[in-house]
Amino acid sequence: MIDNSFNLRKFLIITSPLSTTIFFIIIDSVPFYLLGDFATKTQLSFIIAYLWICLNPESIRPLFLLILGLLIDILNDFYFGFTTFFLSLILFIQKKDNTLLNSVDFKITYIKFSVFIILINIFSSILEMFSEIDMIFNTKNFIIINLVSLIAFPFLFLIVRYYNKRLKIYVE
Amino acid sequence: MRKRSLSRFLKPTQLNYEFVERFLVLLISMIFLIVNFNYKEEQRYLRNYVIDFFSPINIVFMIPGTQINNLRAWINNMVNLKEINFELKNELLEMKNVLNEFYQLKVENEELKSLLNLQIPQTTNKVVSRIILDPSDIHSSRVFIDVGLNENIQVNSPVFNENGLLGRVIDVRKKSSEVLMLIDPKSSVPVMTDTTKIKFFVEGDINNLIIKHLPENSIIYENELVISTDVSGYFKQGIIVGKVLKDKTGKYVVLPSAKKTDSVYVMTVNYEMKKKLPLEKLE
Repeated sequence: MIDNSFNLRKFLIITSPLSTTIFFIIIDSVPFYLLGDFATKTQLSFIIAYLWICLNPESIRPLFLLILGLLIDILNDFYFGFTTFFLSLILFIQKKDNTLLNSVDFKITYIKFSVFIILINIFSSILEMFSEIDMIFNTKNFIIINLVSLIAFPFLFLIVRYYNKRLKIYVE
Repeated sequence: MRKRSLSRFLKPTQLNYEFVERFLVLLISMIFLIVNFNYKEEQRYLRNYVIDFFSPINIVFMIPGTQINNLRAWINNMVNLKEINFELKNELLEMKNVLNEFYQLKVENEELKSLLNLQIPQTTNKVVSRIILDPSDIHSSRVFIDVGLNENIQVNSPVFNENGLLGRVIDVRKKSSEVLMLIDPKSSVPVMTDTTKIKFFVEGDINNLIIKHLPENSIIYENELVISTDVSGYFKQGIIVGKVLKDKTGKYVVLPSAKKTDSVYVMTVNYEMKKKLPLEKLE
């Protein structure tokens, strides 16, 4: 007998890749200013999408990746297509070999992510330099943004790993 | 062998559909990236349209942050109750003196107006709003506020808080407006020093404000207050911008007195401008 009753918990777990990414997209863009004068740009949405692709490349459909990427670009003042381009590249890499960016040893995963996020931010700055001739590059802010991303990564990793485990149980 | 692998690649299996989708998404993102450089205005229009559409969602998500900020302020007030009370009493005494002075000036002003037969100037309406979106990064500083055409906000309206000027409106939608912060490298605002009345422009450099077009042989002093002017009729006069300071290199800069982190609540004004600034001149 097939059980057709709606299971909210199951629904939340199955939609967690999309819902967590959308949640962090909004968190990134909403101004909280909780730390007094200190306010920096966070890249939580990008990290969470990266983690979902790394841990479970099947979790987000490429079409949704396009929509989420565009939403990140719109709300974070990036160039349209910037986030989707890099997320698609990660998807291609992970589909080819699931262990390329994700390793059993967290340290390796972390180092790979560190290199990746710094490269992304450098690329973003280069793109901005091509577009704006009189652009001012703020080294201090650049370091802070990267540091915040690196600090946030382990916590986001735990969140995604937890939901991914649950998701796999439901799917299997 | 090669033929077989090609036929396997083209076989319409679930895997191939997924591959095609992946490939198309990558292609679309690349097209977007290339096209961006030629269609900046369209990109900006689309971005602001989407932000305007989603602004109610952002307001909902801001509630916990606002509550935490309120709680923090409340705890701070409770802890420093005696000190704050003492400061406020002193401030009240000072303000009473200032108010008395203002009453005298008001009477004098009205007498002079009637003497010169001057018309009443245009009224200014203050509109309180909230910062609902902050996409500022290392290259730019812009925010979105939750008031727009519905509240008669216009392009170039100043946005400020209790400490001074934050920036100016550069794009208006129905329910939201884009604000270019003073510290954004694209921002340029006409100002003057409060005591010496020297007029010049300030341009943003992410941290401070660079002094531009300072008249020759004019001397500005450290710690002198800088306020906005309505030069050419494009801007609102008399809003505090910042203080003149010397930077590490010994060059004079203006340190903005208001920061976006002061509060998510900001104010803007709708008023009849002497001149309307063409949109293309804002960028």
